[in-house]
Amino acid sequence: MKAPHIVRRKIVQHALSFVSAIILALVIGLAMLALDGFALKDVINSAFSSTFASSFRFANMVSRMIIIILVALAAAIPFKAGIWNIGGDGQLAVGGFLTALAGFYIIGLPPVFHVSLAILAGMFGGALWASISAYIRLKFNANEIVTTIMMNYLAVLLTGYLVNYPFRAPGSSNAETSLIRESAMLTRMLPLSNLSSGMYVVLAAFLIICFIDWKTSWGYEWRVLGANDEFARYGGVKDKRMRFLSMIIGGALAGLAGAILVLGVNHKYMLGMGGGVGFTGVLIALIAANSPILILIVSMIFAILQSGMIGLESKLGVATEYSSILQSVIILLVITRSQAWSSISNLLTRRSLHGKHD
Amino acid sequence: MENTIEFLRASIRLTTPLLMAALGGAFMQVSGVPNVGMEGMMLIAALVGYIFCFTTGSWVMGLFFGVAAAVIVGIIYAIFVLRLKADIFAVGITLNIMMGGIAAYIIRRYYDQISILLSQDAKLLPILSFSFLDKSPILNLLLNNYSLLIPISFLLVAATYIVFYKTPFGFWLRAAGSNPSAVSASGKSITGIRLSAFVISAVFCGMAGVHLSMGYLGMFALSLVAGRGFIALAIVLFGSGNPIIVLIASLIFGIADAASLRIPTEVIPPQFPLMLPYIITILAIILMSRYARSFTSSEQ
Amino acid sequence: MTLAIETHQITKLYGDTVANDHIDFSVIEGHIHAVLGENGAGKTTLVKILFGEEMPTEGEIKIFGKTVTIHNPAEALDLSIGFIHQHFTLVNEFTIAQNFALGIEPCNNLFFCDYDTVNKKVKNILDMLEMPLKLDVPVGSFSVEERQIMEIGKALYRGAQILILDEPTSVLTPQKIEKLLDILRKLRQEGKTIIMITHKLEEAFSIADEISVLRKGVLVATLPHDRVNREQLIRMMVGEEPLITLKKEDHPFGDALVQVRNLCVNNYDNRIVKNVSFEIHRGEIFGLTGVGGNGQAELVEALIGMRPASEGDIRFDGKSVVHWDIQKRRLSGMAYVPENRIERGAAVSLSILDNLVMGHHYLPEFHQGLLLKYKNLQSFARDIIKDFEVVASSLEINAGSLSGGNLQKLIIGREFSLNTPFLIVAYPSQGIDIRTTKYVHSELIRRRDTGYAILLVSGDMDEIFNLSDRIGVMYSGELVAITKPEEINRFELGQYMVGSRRNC
Repeated sequence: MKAPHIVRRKIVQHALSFVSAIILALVIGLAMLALDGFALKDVINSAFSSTFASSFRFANMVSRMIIIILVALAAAIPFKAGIWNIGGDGQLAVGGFLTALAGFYIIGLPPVFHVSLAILAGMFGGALWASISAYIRLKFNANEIVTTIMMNYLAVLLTGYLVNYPFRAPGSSNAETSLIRESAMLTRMLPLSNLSSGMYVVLAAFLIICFIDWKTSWGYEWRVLGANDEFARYGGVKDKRMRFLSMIIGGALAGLAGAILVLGVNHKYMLGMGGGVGFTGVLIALIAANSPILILIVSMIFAILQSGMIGLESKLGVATEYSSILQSVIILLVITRSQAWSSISNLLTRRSLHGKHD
Repeated sequence: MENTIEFLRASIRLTTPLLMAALGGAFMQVSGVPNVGMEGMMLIAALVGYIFCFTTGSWVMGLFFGVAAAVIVGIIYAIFVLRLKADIFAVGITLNIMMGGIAAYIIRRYYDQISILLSQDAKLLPILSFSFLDKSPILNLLLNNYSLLIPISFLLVAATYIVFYKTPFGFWLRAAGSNPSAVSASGKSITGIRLSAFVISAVFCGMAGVHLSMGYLGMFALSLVAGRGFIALAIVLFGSGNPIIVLIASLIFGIADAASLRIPTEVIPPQFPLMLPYIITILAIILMSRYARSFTSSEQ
Repeated sequence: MTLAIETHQITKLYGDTVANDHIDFSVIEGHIHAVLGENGAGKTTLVKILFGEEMPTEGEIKIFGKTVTIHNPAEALDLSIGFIHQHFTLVNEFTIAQNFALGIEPCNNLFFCDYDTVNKKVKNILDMLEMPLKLDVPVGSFSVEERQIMEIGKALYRGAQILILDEPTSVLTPQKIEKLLDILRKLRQEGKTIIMITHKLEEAFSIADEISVLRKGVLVATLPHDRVNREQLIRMMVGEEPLITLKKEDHPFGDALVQVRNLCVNNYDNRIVKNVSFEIHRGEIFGLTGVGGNGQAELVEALIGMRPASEGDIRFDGKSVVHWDIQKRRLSGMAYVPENRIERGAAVSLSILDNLVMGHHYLPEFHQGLLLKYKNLQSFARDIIKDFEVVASSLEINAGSLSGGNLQKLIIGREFSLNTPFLIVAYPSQGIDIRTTKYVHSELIRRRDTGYAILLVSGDMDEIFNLSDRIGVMYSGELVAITKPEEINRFELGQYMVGSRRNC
């Protein structure tokens, strides 16, 4: 049995192609900045300092990372089951809004219950918003890429209306809800930083997703649905039910991201508080949907990139959106690198394996 | 009366960006590859076009370089999809995100703006006025004095129709979408045909983007495309690439857009009318799907 | 006597697999040349090389005496070689003229096509083929036979002197086959050279001037048709291995496990299966046959639940199952080896383990609530690999890396080891080698003997006659005959298959 050897080599190749794609993207990103007249030393220094220079900054990077992990999972789980969820931003917004309501209107509960309830409200909101696109896809076979994107715009407009009119914080000049009650706030892990005890919630959510993915029939059936849905149906998998489930779990995770932004960071719902992070999640899902571990790693890299951009923006005036260029380059490189690797490895395995053909 | 005419004019103005992009999308759709990157193509064309129209002081340069930028995106898209066999949806979505990043980077780096670019020197697309329409006051009010690309977008409906159904190239395009093996058996290259569809699609989306910044708004904003690329994709899917249905669907959106702008905000909060195009898109795509099969099936 | 085609030492490798092994193949101008061979013998690869769809790894091609290199179909067309594919290369939305002229449209001016000229030429060709077809309707509205002949017309329109037909009769009913062969004879009179790939001996005998036999990528022989007999040809095709013969003991059947009553199946508004009634007993192999596309596939899909029945009843073990979903039917005791291994029978991008688990993962010994017991599943998967002799280095490699035969064994192993009392097995020996076929057949017999009810769907006469206890024949959506193999000969079965006879 040379099997473990082959599998290990595959993993090594995968990791290698991944790492080289990321390094190449970073080199390209730095080269473009250098060509555009920035001193590389300044770029690297400011990116580094805004991420690692102090525990405060590091905490903010981690806080960004946990949100990215959630939206990445929100896109990856439906993706795994063969259905696109580009609606992470809308689901995050609706979830965050419901969390803010639960955080403000529920009074007199002990913190543990209040926080849990508010989180559940957020997850419910995200799941609800996702379920609309999922229903339309599964009932009418309407393309979910279009509908989830449309639902993003609708979420912004709907919550925009709600925070401008019925639920606007009294006396506030901004479109935002009132501050949530003390009992609903997550404890900050570091004073003034964005990192809250929500990170434990995310850790738990991540572990649960890993468990579902690796150990349960849900994970198995999603995997098969994504690989060949006719085979799944033939085998008796209830394809629509499982896809719907993947979508509402995805929505719930995006809603959870909204809840953590409200309970742990902003303490209120503000329009645009997600900052388009949902698309970052989609990008990660594109290359890492098959493995939660990979999602963790890529989320960390993307969080570091985005945190580094804060330094670049404040010190050098580079738009933070520059990180999305880098992220896109990484995705494009990874998509094509795996292509190149698979043809190379095909050649290698053909050479080394015998007796496999009839 | 004046109100009605102003309303109709607004509808026509708002139809153009969708119509132009959707016609471009139709070129790719009929050749069997949905264009998911329209959003990014429009955005980059809108930005580059606007920058050139105020730096060079010439709308021709703006139009040319705006479209050229979109074509570059289209060619990159085509290389990834046709040559490297990457998933068309994945690459399209990634390119959209990338273009958003590039646009934000450029206006910040070179113009120190966060989301909007507005210049006094901008030489916008010219307004066309035809003297022969002067004779009939109503026609004159209704059909005259539009920004350059508006009449062109309607002419392109006819042009697209003729190309699709009357010219050899149109037959190759449709054959590539309907039965690729018919194309390869006839000795033509599917990749070549689809590549030209990517380029034409990018030209159209580029014009749509240029119209948004240099014709419709007179400025550039990061949010100016606002999902129109995906609404256009929905329109293309709805009409399965037929330019006449694309025209009708785009008009419906244009009218809905115009209507939403005219609803007084004291009566209904502005968010609700603004939701209209997105809701119509969802309804349209449901309606389409009831009659047609999933469009992904046209991909081999 | 000039040679239209002459190949010298053509070799084609796909990785380590030899598809064509130093083939010297020649075709006489103005003759019909049949190329025989089993599935996977390398016939299609050879003609693809001639048409420029594949490049040979080594070797040389001469067309009408001139050495050429054919890089792509366009160059083959220029050399007046036309290829009639197994799948249609017509665009359904286009008219005949638009299809024929695709890519070589004559133009009046810079932009517009001149279809009047095309139509005149098309009409001449159709007249010659004796196919008076409407010129102004989309080709999608024509029948399969008409489209098949249209493909020939298209090649002629493009000036083909050499016509290559890849299994042209596989989608046709026997009468239509006769008509097609007539047309080919007519084309021979016109001086065309024709290469026809087939695996049907009778066709080769009735039409060909020369017959070539390929086996495992090697050209075994090329012989004039009057110098070979049937038995020789078969021996050349299958090698020295004897033809499959199976011993099957008669035994009493059990009760009727599957009862189908007046079953109708629609595809949109089209009725594909019409009023079919039959039953399958425990311990019985019920062979269902017919020309492909006469409703067998849809009947099977309705039985397993992948397609709704529009009317009628399916009773399984006494209970009506028409409204059950696939999972419930499988759990109640059905298993299904599908015809399309890659599209339906497996997920080739997933591991062998994942492919073997499907269907079993509902069973109580493999899960506890949502939790899958991967340990049990792994040891079970290893057992299947061993029992069904799947050649695979590990459970973790992709199913797509298995050869066709091994993938088939994997699927059969998975479905058989569900140990369900009812098995649906569709075209089990398609595209696999003789050894595997034999193995599959003996497995089927073994299960029949232990009391399983088996529905065997096949177009292979040997398989149907050797294995079936009773034979059902479908024609045009109806079950036109139910009979026993010993009460019928091949000729009569053929008559049922073409609808010229029925007994129920």
